[in-house]
Amino acid sequence: MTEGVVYDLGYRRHEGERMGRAAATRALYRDGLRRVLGLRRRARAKVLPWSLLAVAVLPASGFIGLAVFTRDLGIQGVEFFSHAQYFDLTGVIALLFVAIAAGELLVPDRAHGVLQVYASRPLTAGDYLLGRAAGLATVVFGFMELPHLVLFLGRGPGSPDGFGSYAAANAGILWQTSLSCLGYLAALAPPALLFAAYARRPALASGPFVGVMLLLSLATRALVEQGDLRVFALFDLRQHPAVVKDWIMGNPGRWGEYGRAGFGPWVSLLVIGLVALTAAYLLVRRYRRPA
Amino acid sequence: MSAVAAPDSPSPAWAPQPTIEVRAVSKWFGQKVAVSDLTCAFGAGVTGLLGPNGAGKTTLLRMLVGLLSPSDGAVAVLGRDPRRNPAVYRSLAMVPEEDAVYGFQTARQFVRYAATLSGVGTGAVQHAIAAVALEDAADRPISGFSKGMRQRAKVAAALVLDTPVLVLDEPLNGTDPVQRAHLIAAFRRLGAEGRTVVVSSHILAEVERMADRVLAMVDGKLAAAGDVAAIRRAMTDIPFRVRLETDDPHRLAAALVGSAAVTSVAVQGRGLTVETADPAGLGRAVAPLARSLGLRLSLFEPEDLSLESVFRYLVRGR
Repeated sequence: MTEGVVYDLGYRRHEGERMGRAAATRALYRDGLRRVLGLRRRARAKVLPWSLLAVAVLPASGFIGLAVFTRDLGIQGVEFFSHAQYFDLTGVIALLFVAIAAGELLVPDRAHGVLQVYASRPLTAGDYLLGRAAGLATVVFGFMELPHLVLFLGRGPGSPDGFGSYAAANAGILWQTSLSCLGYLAALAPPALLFAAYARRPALASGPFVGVMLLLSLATRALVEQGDLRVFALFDLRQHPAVVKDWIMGNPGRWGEYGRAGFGPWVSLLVIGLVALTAAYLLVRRYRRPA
Repeated sequence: MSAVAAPDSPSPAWAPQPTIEVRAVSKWFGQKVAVSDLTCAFGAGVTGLLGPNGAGKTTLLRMLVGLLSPSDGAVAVLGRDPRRNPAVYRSLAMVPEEDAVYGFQTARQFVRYAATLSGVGTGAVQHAIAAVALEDAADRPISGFSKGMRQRAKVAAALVLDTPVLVLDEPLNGTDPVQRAHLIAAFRRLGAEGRTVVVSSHILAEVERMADRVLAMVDGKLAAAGDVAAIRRAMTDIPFRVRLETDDPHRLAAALVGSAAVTSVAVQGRGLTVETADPAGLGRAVAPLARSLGLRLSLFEPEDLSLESVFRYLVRGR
């Protein structure tokens, strides 16, 4: 006769240590990374972030290939894109990427009613926002810096003095690109998160954010061209990280209407800081009563 | 913390050695009073929180777990204010009424994430999933789940935290009878382990099956507290109804009409329904009476000792 068995389906006691807010914030951070990149999700969720990443990185790879090709043809010193110029390309894609990522991070928590689950965990609203913002910052920083790493590493082997000499001589560019990435991050991520905090669907966060940023650019250009309305140049929020980047990379004078309006990088830094602080304040207010 | 003290005399609304204390709590949203001057406490075991829609159950539960602040009064969980006190949540788990799940995650991912968020590790994930009988579907996306399966995923995400206090808002919604029986058994087991389990429900039969104690809310106020039979006994203004069956109900009815214990008698088919203020006295009197009349008494059954009857009396006229 077969022996029977009754399994105890009662749940097992947790005997170990209970971690606190830091562990919960780290869990949110890791979840944010996975969510933005579509990891552990269906292929559809991966399409947008990875396509944008490919669009950002592929030109760098192409330039490296072209540089190698021209060198093989005996043409030395051809540099198709400088790091500073490459930011002008990735800056537009970064705007789109940040908009999508911010919506993907914050909107489902509210739309699926999961905020109340977070609110009944050992987390404060600040911890929640910190975890989510850190996830966004990591991914966006990686997104913007990766093409520069590709450029840097790709140019090294083609250098006449060898990779070691090239890397030693040009290591400073990595600090410059990193700082520039942080500038873009500080300028774009807080307002993108703010839009996402009020949207009911991810697309309703990213679309309006991109639209407002582009409209601000167009509107400020039109107003600044009027001559007496130079102060409106400050409202072109997309321009500020580019100004700071050019300043960091020693490439001034390419500031368009903003430069012609007589503003410099310190003003841009101030505006970025003000916008970021205001957005952070509004975000905390928004999430103080998550239920 | 409010200065409102626990009731001086023992009160059925105030559990002994409480883990959750609600002292003179009111909550209003604009002009609407959702909870009005409620004082009660919850302790070890399963407490059922009953009430019709709009009675204030969910508002009360949200205050218990710190998702809402009381407009007046105070709530304490294990002696601490749950509002803005993340440390309390190491001892507290909640299953909200709303879905509160990510459709793009699998049930296992969701439960695992809940565990990591509360810093308890993922060792108990499989047990929590098994406790709600969701093993077969654990690796499917929640977006494809039925309402009952989503409910069970939420319950598993609370169970995995292994907390001494569990607050469950309508956890049986959408579950089928087998799943309900499974969940009820799980809640009873948790209560028997000495945990404080607070379950709100409008499904009376299930509350009756799982709760050691019932708090009934009507219009934001506490309408009754205690075990069901005690609540019914306390309703002295409403006579008890007892169903009797005999081979000649008319003769028995005629004899009962003269009894002091009987308020009214109605004959229906082979039986009769007797209203009495003293069902025990009626029980003692009716058998000798039937015997003296030469009648065979085949049924003596109280009709309104069920939670449903009690609840119906509580909300009548509202």
